[in-house]
Amino acid sequence: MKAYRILAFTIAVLVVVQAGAIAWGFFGVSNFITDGGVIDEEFLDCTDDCESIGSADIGFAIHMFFNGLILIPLCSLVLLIVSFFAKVPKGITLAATVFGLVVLQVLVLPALSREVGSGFGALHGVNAMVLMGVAIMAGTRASAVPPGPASATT
Amino acid sequence: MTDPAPPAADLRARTWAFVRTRRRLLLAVAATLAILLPLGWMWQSSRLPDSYDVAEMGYVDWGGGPVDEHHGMGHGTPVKDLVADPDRPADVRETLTVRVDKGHYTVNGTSPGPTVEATVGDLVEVTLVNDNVEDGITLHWHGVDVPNAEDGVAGVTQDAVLEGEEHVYRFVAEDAGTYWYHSHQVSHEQVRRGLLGALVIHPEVPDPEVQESLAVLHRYTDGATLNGKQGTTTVDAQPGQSVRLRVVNTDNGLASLWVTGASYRVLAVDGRDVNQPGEIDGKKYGVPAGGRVDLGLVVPEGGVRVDFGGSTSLVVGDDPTGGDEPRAPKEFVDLLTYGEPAEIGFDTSDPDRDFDYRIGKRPGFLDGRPGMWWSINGHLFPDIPMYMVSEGDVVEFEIDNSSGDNHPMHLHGHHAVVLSRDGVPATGSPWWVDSLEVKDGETFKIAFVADNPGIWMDHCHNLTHAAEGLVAHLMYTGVESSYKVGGHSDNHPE
Repeated sequence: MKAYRILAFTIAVLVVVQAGAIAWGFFGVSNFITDGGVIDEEFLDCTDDCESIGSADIGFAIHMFFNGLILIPLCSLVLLIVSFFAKVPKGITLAATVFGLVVLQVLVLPALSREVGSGFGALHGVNAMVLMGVAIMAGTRASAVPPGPASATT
Repeated sequence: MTDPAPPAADLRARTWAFVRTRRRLLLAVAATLAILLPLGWMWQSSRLPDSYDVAEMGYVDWGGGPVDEHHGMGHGTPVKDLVADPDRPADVRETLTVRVDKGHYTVNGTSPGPTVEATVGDLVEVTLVNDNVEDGITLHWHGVDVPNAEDGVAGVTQDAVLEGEEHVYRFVAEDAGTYWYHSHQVSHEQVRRGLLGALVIHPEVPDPEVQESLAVLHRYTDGATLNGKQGTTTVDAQPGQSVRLRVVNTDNGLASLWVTGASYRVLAVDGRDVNQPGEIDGKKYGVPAGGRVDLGLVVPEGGVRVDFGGSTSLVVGDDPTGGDEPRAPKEFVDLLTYGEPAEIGFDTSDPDRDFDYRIGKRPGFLDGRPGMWWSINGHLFPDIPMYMVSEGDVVEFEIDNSSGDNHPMHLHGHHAVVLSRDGVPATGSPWWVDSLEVKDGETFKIAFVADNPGIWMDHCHNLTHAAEGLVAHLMYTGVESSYKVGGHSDNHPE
């Protein structure tokens, strides 16, 4: 129960971190271009010993790798597994919804934005809010369950 | 009537009672295993051994042609024996010594390294010396269809040349054109950091009226350069002078170039002449990563200027712009319709082998690392197709890219001709390539004759993508491996 609650709220907080990180990154890009920098395919593909947009690089690294690609998917997977054991009312459904929204967010919407139209990027932003809402809902449900003998196992 | 239940029935009843009381827990454990076991299996099966033979990797694809299981270790001619005539003396001799200082590579003290020059028919002999590179180095002759053992791919055609060692490359310069050399050991790092140079093979009878000029494009940590220099480079030429400008893109992405002050012609692509190239005005040209193009220019009264991606430029004669950076035209030259058709020398109507090279991107594990990785025909490296051919086969490839990114595909040891793009047949000059830009959403059909036995990489020349698993190979029947990736020389071709 406790693990479920902590994981659910952690996901909500990590979504906020994502929003902050991407804004940091794009303000950095804007400064870089204003200062005469050129961003092209070569620049985007560089991974080793590259020209840098400065500290805002960290914003992209957080959004597109550490937090977005690793931490949030991992937390949502662990939440789903924990939900099987924690006796939270509708806990499995909520955890599965969180997991589904993460798949939509990380795999489906970016793919649609690339291949169909960048307008799907807007849904990526909206879906983030929905994901945060469901994660908070899941965390609140888990908090509302009165501590009983069963919760000791989770 | 009051007989006690037999022991077996008692056990069953107790088991059921256990299952009923713990049903929830058991279901939870089962659901957990249902998630974790496939993930664990996928992780485990993606792990690469410390050392492996590329000819034993992935799965075999015969492309609808005859099946011949004789390949790999112990079956046929070893790769190391596929060399140029060992008794023939060299016509061109060079020694290239590679050093690394603070992560920057130099060849004979410079980067780009010295331009190796030869004439058609020459036997070129290059001694590569590794002064102090711990990881080891190699030289790959990008675009030259060398004998397999001279191809310079660590772990496939040779062992990496370790610190203090040297290695001799020998090949006949058969086709005039613009090429380049670069390391194929830890290449995504060594090439980017400067282990490269140009190779020019001149025709037997050069045109004395034409002035030659070379533009090697490379982006180092501190920005884009042309022949190692940032900004604008100026070359002296009189008005009316014909110039052949050889452009080499050594970077990982497409290089756009555009010409201001004069029209231009595309004389050659990837070391193969274009048939009857027409004058081009108001269009830019895209050189794929690893690709080369020879432009033909006639210097007008006010001079001519070539801009490369808005970062560097080459001025021949006076600067026609007066120093203002000219804007790039919107439209690219399309080689599918450029120039006039000509014989390609083989029949593509009924190929012996017909392969798919479908590039995608999907989540999974690459050597145990989770992430979004490039896939080939739906599979992730190393579980990818090995394309099998026999000498003399006409081979057709359909390269389809739906991966969300562009991929400059480079086939070693062969030149392929483009048959069609997105179903539209090529109607211009035969468009021969060794480095082909396949943009996201595009499908190319290419064909070539399998006339150079060996094991040949067929990979993305965005070397970062290659290191992320976008690397397959062409394997000839009757050829066996001589080297292994990993191993004592720590061979890492990508």
